[in-house]
Parts: sequence; structure tokens; C-alpha cells
Amino acid sequence: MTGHKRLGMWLFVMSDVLTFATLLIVYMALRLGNPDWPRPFTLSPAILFATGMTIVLLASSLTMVWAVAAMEAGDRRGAVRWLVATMAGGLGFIGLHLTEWRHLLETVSPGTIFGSVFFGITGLHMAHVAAGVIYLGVLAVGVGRGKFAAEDVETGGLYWHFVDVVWMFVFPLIYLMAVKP
Amino acid sequence: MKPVVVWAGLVALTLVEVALAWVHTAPVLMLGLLILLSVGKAAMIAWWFMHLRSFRPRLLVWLFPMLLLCIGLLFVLVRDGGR
Repeated sequence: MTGHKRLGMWLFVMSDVLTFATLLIVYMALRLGNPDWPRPFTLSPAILFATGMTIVLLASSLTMVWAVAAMEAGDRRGAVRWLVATMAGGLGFIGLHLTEWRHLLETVSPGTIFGSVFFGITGLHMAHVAAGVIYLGVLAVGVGRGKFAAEDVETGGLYWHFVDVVWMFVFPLIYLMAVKP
Repeated sequence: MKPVVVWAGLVALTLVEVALAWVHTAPVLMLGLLILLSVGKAAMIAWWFMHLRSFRPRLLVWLFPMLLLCIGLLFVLVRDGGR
């Protein structure tokens, strides 16, 4: 039977979509229900920085597509190279995110409603990215040793793209809805 | 469509979102526009990068309406919780 790994990952992705959907819907209800919602982000440098993080994450999705394509073409060495590039993108995203958190912690307390929502949602997303980097590392080592098939890399790709999809909602809803007027 | 073209489209839509934040519209309108753009970007990633287009139609018909129903129910529950 082929495709069962992909189906399993799709089912996991859908269950995790509901986790993030719950958090984001609660956030939207809080945001719209509070006219005095904090807006700590300035367009420069905060939003430009977060836009850079978004572009890095999107670029890592592109390298993941190339890793899957290389594996399907039987190019294991190319697949490992693109998987490592994807991991580098993920690590770059985490590094930028932690830098941003360090600056934000000077002005936003995690104990406030905004702080708990912001650090809770972005922290959960960052944990997913970190788990994805480890997952891709295991895949890269396995592919390099001739262990995994193309479907395994594609399944890893599904997870990585899902992490990207989540950020497509987190960035506009959390950051752009809290831009300083 | 080539992956680079899809990626460029995603970056362009991200820049449109940032431009919207620059304009400062009413929160409800802004939220609606941002959700619309985000759904579009998520659909692009799912369709081209996650190969949803090669998904078996029967699975698509079963899984996605269920997911949308669950998300719809979340909206109802959150509104109910606010009372």
C-alpha cells in the first residue's frame, strides 16, 4: 500500500490545524472585543523584521519543494543538499524570532493578555519549526545513507509546508493587527 | 506552475498585507481583508507545494468539508463562551 504515510501526515496536519485555529479564533475574539488592544509593533523595524522572517520561512518551503523533486528524480545527494538548506532556513527563522522576542520582552510582559497570546501562539509555532528542523535532520541523515524513499521526504515536506501555512495566518493576525498607529 | 513563481506570488501577497497595515483601516475590515489574503496564501501552498491537486477527489470531498465544519463550530463556541 502506498500513500499511507502521506495520509497519516495529512490527518495529523488537520488535527494540528484545529489547535492553531482554536488559538487564533480566541485571539480574534479578544482583539475585536478590546478597543484598547496593545499595538506595540512599529512598521520599522518590527514589522519589516517580521516580514523578513516570513520571507525566510517561505524560502525554506521552496527548498523543501526542490528536496522532494530531487528525491523523486532519484538524486539523493541533491535531496540531502536541499533538506539541509531547508533546515538552515528553519534555524534562521528561529534565530530571527528569538532576537525579536528578546527585544519585545523589554516592553511587553508575558503576564498580560496580549503578552500571553503573543508568546503563546508564536512560541507554539516556533516549537513546531524546531521539531520540523529535527525531523528534517533525521530525514537528511537517512536519505544520505540510502534508507528513506521519496514518499518519506514528501511526508516530511507536508509537515514543513504546514508550519509555513500556520505562519501565513500568525503573521498578519498577530503582527499586522497590532501595528502602532 | 513553477515553484519559484508560486513563491514570488506568496512574497507579493505578503507585501500587500504589510501595505494594508500601513493604511490603518477599521479593525473589522482589516481583519477580514487579512484573513482573505491568508486563506489565499494557504491555498496556494496547499495546492502547489503540498500537492493537494494530486489528492484523490474522494478524500478531498470527505476531509476538507469536515475540517471547515470543525473550524466553523469553533467560531460558534467562542461566541457562546463570550456570553
